[in-house]
Amino acid sequence: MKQPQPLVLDSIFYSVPALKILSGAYLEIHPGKISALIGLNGSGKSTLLKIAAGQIKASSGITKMNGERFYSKSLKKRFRSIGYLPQESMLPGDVKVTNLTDCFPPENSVRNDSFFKKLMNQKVKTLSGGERRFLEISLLFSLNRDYFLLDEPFSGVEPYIIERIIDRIRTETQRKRGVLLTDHMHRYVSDVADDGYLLHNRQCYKLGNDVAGELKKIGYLR
Amino acid sequence: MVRYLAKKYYVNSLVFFVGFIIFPYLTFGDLPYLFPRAVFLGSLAGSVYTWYDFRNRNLWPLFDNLRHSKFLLLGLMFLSLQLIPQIVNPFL
Repeated sequence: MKQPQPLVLDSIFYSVPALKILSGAYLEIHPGKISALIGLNGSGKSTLLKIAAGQIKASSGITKMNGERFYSKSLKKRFRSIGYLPQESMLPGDVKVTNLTDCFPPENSVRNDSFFKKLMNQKVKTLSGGERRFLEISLLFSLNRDYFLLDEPFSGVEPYIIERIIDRIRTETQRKRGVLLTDHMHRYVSDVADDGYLLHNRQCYKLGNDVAGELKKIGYLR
Repeated sequence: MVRYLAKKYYVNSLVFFVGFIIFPYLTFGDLPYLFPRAVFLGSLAGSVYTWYDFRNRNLWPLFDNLRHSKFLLLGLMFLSLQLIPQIVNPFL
């Protein structure tokens, strides 16, 4: 069986008329591993995730998976391999949870999860921020994708649900899926991440396996 | 999700259609001439409005994750509305 190879973002440049956001960013996401992308507000983390997910086009740069290049015009391959959780909710508020789960593969765990059973007949807009975020992540992981990009999955979520999200992410990586997550809640991110990148000065710097230790060493965390 | 998009698109197109037909009808009154044009403009405006509405509500990433092509779906829905004048116009 062919060993899955990392998802590679190489030499990613992105700029808007008045501002350079990324200048040659390089990033690898390995199957079965959780990678963290850490950076200050406005450093370009979400932009990099959007480029990887095919939501926006980079000014230049290469995205590769299994040695095969994803061209920016052909989004089919990208959508087939990558699941993307945007920073803001992507679920329509005026749809019932049960109708939403019907759109996802039938083996999705949302239907059997005791957490969601009581929410099934509610509309998405009536859910709390944490419930909504956990629902999004659970539905996303039910898709058959190799890599998942999670943009701030923990923001505005209570610790109990964060623990459940972390368990879910760990379960998925055991199934040889690669996860890239970015969030400002460094305690949770550094606890869960196998490796990490710091996005600084429009470039990605690789952090070692001890993400929290390295961030303290460079003065990013106290 | 396709059903959700269809519902929103057809409702938006209907609203625009009504807007595009009422004033010209009250002015000119030539319904067989106005009807296909109002359907075309209504469905076009409906497509554009639905596109921006879904973009503002950040719903397109969900369609991308489900691998539903938004261009194809909106295009097919737009074309489906162009059949209405073919069916209705002979009776006007």
